[in-house]
Amino acid sequence: MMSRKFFWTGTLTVAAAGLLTGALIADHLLHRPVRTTRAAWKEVYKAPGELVHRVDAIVLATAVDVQPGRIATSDNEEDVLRFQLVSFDVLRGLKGVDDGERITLERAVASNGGILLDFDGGDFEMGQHYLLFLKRQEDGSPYFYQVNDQGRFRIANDRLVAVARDDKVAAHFDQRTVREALALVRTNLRAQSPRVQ
Amino acid sequence: MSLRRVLVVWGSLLVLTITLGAGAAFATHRWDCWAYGDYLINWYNGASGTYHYIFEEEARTDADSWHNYTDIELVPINSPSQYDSINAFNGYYGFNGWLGLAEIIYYFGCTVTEGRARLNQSYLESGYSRTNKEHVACQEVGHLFGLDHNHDSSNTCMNDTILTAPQPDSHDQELINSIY
Repeated sequence: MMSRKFFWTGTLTVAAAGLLTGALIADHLLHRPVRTTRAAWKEVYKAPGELVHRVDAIVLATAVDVQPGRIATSDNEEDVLRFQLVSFDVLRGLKGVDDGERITLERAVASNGGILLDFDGGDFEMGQHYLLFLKRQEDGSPYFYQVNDQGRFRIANDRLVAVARDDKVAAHFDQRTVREALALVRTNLRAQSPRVQ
Repeated sequence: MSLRRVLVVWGSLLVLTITLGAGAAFATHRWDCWAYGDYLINWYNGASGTYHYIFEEEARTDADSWHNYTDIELVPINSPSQYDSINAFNGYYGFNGWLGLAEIIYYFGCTVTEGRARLNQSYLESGYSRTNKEHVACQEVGHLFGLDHNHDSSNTCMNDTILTAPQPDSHDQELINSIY
């Protein structure tokens, strides 16, 4: 048996230690820089159905080639953005693209001084499979772009790994098997409303 | 109370408080650990035309700008700098899905020495109101101070699911003032 005073003193100590430990764990995780770029995306979706319906193409594809692209500058020419063209062989064209097609995606890759940009998930690995949600460039060019950071998943051990792992829409696909993810896409494609599931 | 029962109570309490402590720390909408060295930050506005005024208003001159609403003090400079600075630009960067970009260019550990904010005219020139542009400018600058997107409030420019709140809210103010 223990005294009431000892019990409450111990309880308060345990509570304080727990709160402190939790905060330290979170602080440790927060204090590991992950990405150096953030984008204000043109489109951010609130449900997987919206993501599936609003994009022009959904593909399970393999990254096969990367080439340097155009160079854009700011209006005063002091800022520089370099782009690259990444080609993919489509394994499964779920929307907008057929199986076996080769498509090309344009992305910003580096700014002044060659500093790499990672707001979209960073460089693609050649030979790696991805599930991608894409839009066609609005100026009529033949290239696609990754719709936002909700729309890119690397395939690892037959499971999807999201770029935006803390995003609620990406979480619907994150860690699913490829088969489950493709089924989820197809279910949403069949649905009339853009906000199903 | 038996020792066994006390240990069970304390064990449960420990798990609960660790979870609460971690949750409270994560719920702050920080962008990882990024922050400038202190509250005095050089500000180079390299944007042109309307975008120059938009950046200036959102960063420095509006009553609810980052400079006036928080402890941040932006010090105007005349050319882009790599030292303790934010450099802001606009341009036709192309159709790649983004309206604005915030980039940590140079850093030491978690301390930012150069951040860059960009507005993409390829999209913003058509179909976007001045308020929309202000929202994006406010958000990109806010990122560079160390804030992440915030989906919990519709009254802050750090919410990236809307484009109609071109100002920080009181949560952003508290967060910035706690960092700096």
